[in-house]
Amino acid sequence: MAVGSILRFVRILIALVVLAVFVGLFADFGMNIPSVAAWLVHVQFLPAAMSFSIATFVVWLIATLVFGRIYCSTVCPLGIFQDVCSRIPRLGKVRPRWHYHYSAPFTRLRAIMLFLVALSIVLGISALSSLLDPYSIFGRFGLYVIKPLWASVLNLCGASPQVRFGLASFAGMLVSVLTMVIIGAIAFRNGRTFCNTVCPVGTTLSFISRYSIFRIDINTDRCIQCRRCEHRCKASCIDLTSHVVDTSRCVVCFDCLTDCPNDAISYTYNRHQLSIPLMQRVKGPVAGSAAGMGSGRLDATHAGNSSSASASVDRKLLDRRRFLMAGAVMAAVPAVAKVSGTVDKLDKMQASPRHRGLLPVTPPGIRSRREFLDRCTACGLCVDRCPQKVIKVALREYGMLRALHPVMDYDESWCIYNCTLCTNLCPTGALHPLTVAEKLRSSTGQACADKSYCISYTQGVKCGACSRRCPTGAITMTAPDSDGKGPYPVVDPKKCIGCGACQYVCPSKPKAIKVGGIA
Amino acid sequence: MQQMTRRQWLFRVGSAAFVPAFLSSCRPEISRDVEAVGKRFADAYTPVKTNGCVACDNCMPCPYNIDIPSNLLFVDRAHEEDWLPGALDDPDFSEKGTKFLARYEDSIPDVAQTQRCISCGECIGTCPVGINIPEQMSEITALTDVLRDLRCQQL
Repeated sequence: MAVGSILRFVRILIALVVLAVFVGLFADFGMNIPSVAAWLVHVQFLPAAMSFSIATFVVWLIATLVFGRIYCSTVCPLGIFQDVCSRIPRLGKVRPRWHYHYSAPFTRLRAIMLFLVALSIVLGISALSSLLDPYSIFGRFGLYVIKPLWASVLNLCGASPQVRFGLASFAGMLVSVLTMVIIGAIAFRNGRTFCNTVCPVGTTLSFISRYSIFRIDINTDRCIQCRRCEHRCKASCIDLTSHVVDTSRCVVCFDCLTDCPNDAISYTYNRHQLSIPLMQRVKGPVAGSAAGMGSGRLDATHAGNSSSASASVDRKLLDRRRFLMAGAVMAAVPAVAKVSGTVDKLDKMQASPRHRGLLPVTPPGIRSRREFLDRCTACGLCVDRCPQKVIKVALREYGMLRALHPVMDYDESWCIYNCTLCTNLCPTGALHPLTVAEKLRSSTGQACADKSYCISYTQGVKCGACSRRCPTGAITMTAPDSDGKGPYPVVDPKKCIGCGACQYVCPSKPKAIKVGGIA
Repeated sequence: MQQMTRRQWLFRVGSAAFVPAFLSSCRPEISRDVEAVGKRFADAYTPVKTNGCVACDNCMPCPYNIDIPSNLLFVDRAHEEDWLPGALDDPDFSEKGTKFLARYEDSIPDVAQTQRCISCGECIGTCPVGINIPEQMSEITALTDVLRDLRCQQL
């Protein structure tokens, strides 16, 4: 077997395994695969960057520098999903009439999108970064679409206890279906267009993969100009007119290697030395041809920057550009500060009215509320894996700009005292991993009792359920009043950890004891 | 000692710095602190007794919406089919418990489960076969509490 097909086979194998693990993790087919899956989730690029796990980040940058964008074709779940979508119409012998074609890179669009995402992360508007991060997109798809679909399929097939599945949130489902349909349709028709235009991870990696050591190389001596590789390239990055592969967009899928009838394409660290000078890649039409013919150098990429006059012009231009750039940055600082202030105001305005003035409760393991809100990319992993199903998806609790973030819903369930699962799963560092001992000490909220609603106090029912259910013994019932009213709960704020067991069991309507988040 | 070339040195330093950092940053380990398994709940736990409920529905309706007959019948069924967990130190406690909790959550909706029981005593005296319903409810609650803790530790 040729090297190309072996490489391609390995790539597809890894991709399928990764996809299966991700689907299994999010759809939860009754399997317990957390340790492998947690590892895969933690090496995802944007979550690693968000959690400042510099080592993962650097390892991916180095891997990209050496091998090109292997991340995009093997580890990124959304990339694999796009590969599957783009493969569907091209499976049989009858290929669709639309081929892939080379297209010029959308460098400016990519840079702008990356800038916007970076800006939104800095400003703490996680709506944009969570909408565009490929891992989070796939996570939400798994949680809101694959999981209920799978459960309903099981129920239709007659699973003996009916599989219960709560629809996590209708808005979340709508968002995830829309994004997936759009991305899938683009992939169906045009391959990896999403990765090479909008995806922030793809753009970041493309800055490095431009200079990758191993890359796809076309041997012009062997190439017969059949353009099969160009029509096969889902990243539309093979420019066969000039025999150049744009490595900033190449996702190293090795499809072109297997398709070449004359073995002209190879994945190598050697740049092929062109033996036909006329077929070199030229930069500018005039300067390039002059340099290429005059000096006779066979360097494929740097033909055309040799004359000293043009170099000095370049430097002048560059200086002016730098000057303008610095000015723009300086001018942007107050504007950014202003925007960030506006965002805060907007947030406060849009958040839903708080029940009895209580803040929404975050999952455990946060360092600060602000950090949690800024770092979370709404992938839905904690919502998906919570064994108590107490973590729900927020709509307006944190404000519109932080929709789909996880929030604790203590009316439906409560947080298990010893459980640290969500904190250990979170890939973005929004929830910091806790040991059990730390979890027992850390607090996510504060129970507030209101005796005017308590049925024990007002109606004299013998209750005390909250004090019996409290795992830390933070709630005590007072002695009965002298005026004939019953005992009511009193919360010791030093002991309360905000687990919500009291709110869950409280039989009063409305609840006499509620847990509020800590600011 | 043989001198290292620059490349070898770079490789050594690089691998010494990055490999452990990369592996540690992936942090797949989920702490398994078995000692802390719901001490309070484990202390409160006594094995659930069978009851012999006849499903007459005399105890219903419960003012707090707990489905008393379903809970009682569920325990009896678990005992008959031999997956009712016994004492905490039984060797098959965790195996039976996993089965018990999964089926319990599947067959009885949260609002009808026993942890919402406040021991108000409305049902006392209604049972023709003389089941102490509040006590049974608190026993089942203690069992599910222990099992939920155990499940979180096993994940």
